[in-house]
Amino acid sequence: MRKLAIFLALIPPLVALYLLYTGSLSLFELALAIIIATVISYLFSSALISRPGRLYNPIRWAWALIFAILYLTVVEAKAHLSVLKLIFVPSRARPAIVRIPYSVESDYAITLIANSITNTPGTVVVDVDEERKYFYVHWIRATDLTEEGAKREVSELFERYARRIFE
Amino acid sequence: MLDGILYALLAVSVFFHVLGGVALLRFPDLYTRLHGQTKSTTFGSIFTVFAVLAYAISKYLETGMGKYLSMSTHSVVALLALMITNATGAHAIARAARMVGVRPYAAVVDELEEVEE
Repeated sequence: MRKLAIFLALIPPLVALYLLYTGSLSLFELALAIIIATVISYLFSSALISRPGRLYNPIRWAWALIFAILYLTVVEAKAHLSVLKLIFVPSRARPAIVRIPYSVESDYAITLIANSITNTPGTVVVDVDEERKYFYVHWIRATDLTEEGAKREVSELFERYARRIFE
Repeated sequence: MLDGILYALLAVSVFFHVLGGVALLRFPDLYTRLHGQTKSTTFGSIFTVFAVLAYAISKYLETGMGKYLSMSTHSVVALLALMITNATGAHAIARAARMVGVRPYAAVVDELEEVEE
């Protein structure tokens, strides 16, 4: 029963993605979309989804949209300015690999935080310790080397949104 | 008017792409170069996609043809794919480098080193 719900839950978003991408609503495209979505969902749904209810929670989607807009404009621009300065004055760099704790459970949330950190200029996740819940982050201008301080500077915003979206 | 906006967006985009190349020359080691290269490229591509979006939407309002709408969805999907793969690729390069023993240049502190020993 649960498996069936997971299998069915993945089909509508896949159909929607296909139709959005082809940009047509003809009967042929619709039928093809449903067939392809069914096959993909059969193959991958158990690996991709564990709680289908969350996929259809509009509040989570709204937070995801807010995070995407905030991230693409404010966070990226701010971080780019600081790296821009470093490109012209490399001697101001203070590289370090710091340890940053995180406290989320699901794989999606961990991936979102890690990818956000890496996509932000100035920080790259080098390794993840999933047992002890640490990111190892290469930080080009480390201003705070303690765990808590580094977390506040680097990943706290991402973690807050990751929890709202995926947990 | 529209041309001006498009050129401005594309200029910003090209500026960041060039900056990525400059960073590759200026920074001393693999990790710092990763910062310069991968990130500047993402930001540059964001502005390229904004330019495509502005063009497609204005053309759609002008002509009402559906192909301009699918043009904009394609570029947004491409941007999402780029952001995910770019970050994942950077992870993979950084982790692989660390595993074969590339040390960060002039690092103040290296917490991973303490774990390994």
